[in-house]
Amino acid sequence: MRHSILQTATILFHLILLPCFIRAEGSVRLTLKDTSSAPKQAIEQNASALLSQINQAFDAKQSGLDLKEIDITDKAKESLASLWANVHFKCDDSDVIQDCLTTSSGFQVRQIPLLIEPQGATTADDSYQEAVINFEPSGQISSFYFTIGTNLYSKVMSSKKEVTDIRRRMQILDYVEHFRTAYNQKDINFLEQVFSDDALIIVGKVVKTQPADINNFVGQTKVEFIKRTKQEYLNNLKKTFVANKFINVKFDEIKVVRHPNPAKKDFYGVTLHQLYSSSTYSDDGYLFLLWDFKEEDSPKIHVRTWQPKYTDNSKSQIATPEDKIFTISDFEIDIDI
Amino acid sequence: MKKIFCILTACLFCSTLMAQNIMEKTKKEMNRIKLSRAYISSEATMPTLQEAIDIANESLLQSIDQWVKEEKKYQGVKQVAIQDINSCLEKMDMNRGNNVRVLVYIKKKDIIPIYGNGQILLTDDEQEETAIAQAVTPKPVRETVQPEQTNPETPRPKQEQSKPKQEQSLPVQSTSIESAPVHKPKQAPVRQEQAPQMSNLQRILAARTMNDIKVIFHELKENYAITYGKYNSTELDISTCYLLFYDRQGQITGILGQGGQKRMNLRTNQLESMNQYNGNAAYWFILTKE
Repeated sequence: MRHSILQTATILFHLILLPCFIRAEGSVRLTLKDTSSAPKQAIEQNASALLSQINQAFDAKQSGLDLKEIDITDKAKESLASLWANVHFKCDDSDVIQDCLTTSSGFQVRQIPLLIEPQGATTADDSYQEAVINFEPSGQISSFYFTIGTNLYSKVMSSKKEVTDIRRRMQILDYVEHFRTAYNQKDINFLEQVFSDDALIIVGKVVKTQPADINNFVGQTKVEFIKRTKQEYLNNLKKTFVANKFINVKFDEIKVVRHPNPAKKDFYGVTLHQLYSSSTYSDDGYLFLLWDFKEEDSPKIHVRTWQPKYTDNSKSQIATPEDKIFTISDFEIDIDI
Repeated sequence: MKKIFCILTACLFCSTLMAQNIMEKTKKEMNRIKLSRAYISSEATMPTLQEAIDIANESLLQSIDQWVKEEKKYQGVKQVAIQDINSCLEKMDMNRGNNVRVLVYIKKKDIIPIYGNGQILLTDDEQEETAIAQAVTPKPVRETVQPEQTNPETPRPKQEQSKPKQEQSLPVQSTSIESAPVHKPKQAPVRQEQAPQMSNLQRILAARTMNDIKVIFHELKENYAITYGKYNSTELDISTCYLLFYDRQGQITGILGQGGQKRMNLRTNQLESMNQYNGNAAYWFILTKE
């Protein structure tokens, strides 16, 4: 008798506690810390609705996002759909509280915590990412990107020696984040638009050679550098996008330098330490981009180069010396101003 | 056996539930601080605790800079000092996937503005010590920024209290003064009449901030009308000196006449104990006599 009472009590106890362990529906509430001129309510409402919808889609393993009820631009909708097709993610917090920053085109909320699940692979060390949501002046969502790290963002924004214009710095970071997300999204259209038609593109590929008697049966890696036109680069990129289930690009170092010549003050050199991984390939190197901000609404990349981080076949070898990493001073700009 | 199994399972559920509750409490507390206007906060999520703390601290410094620039009442502030960070330190824990989340925060009232460079440097060799102070001054702003932190390692919010620091003088001052030679008062050549002495004292009494005092003392010193020094830097009989007290904001809080522990407040003409000025810094000064 006592035994059956105890059993019943235990079962009831578990049943009572069970709802506590069932995760909440996935709804997210975004609250802004300080707002000056921002349309606080619209931003909070739209962002909360978007993040909640993302969480619901993640939990239900939906193949697409239902954004009908959300106040979001068509461009942002398409961009999110492309991103979702390659990587599923959910907001890690049910209550997100962040600052609202003012940008040249509206407002921005950063440090949205996400847990990501690239489709077709598990990359446990990249499971945490942060996102940035941009808003129109009305509070409508205009974009959703994965961010570069908070530390990198702070570093560029506070580096007064190299880029002095805060607005321009934010714009550069915005484009770098868009550029990074474009690979996750396989957004060939953005990449086509952002590279100038006569861009100098140098791609590098890490290849492994077979061991031989000469090298004592040890396989080696070497780097092949190839110069490509914009069209060649994009055609190859399209094939890469088709061939790989996922592409993950991460930047964990960034340096932004304005061109020293005052006549070329709209040119910025951005050097990024890039970690690239896809279903079939991975590499670790320095990406250099020469950005032209003469037309602020549509900046262009004139130069894109890549160098490996390590000059030899294993990570215990010497890293590429800092003075060998491409910077803006390595390129002569002949563009008519 | 079944009984033990049931009890153990129940305990497991309870402990999991408790851990979840603690995590939820921590999150709630973090959110409360973030929303509160009394704090400036910054957070970072990084693979290791130390990285997260470093990034969050950097970000907090920038937020403090930004806030000081935007606050109207802090227009003209050249530096800020952070008061007694250790005693405000609280640690919280938060794990986030394979990363660690840290929230660092500081109460706005613990941010002390300093107006002007070396505003409270009134030692004899002002030039040398201003240079020392200028070399030293940036350090305390950075080094003392150990803001309140949330440490995401353990799931339990803890209070850590350290001994409160002595608040009688800013670190910059004690560094510069200790290197200064002890000043012995001397009979300065008499260059002023009784009336000018009174007007000198009146000028000093009329001063409201240490910025004003710096200008006045400098002029008087050039005219050999004053000798002065930091309160605890002299071997002379302090009862023969006037005492000037000021707070960490550089506001003059009291000017006392000669005497012992009890002295006349020259502004209010009230007898006061020096104990009233605990927590303030002080200068002694002697005006020339006929």
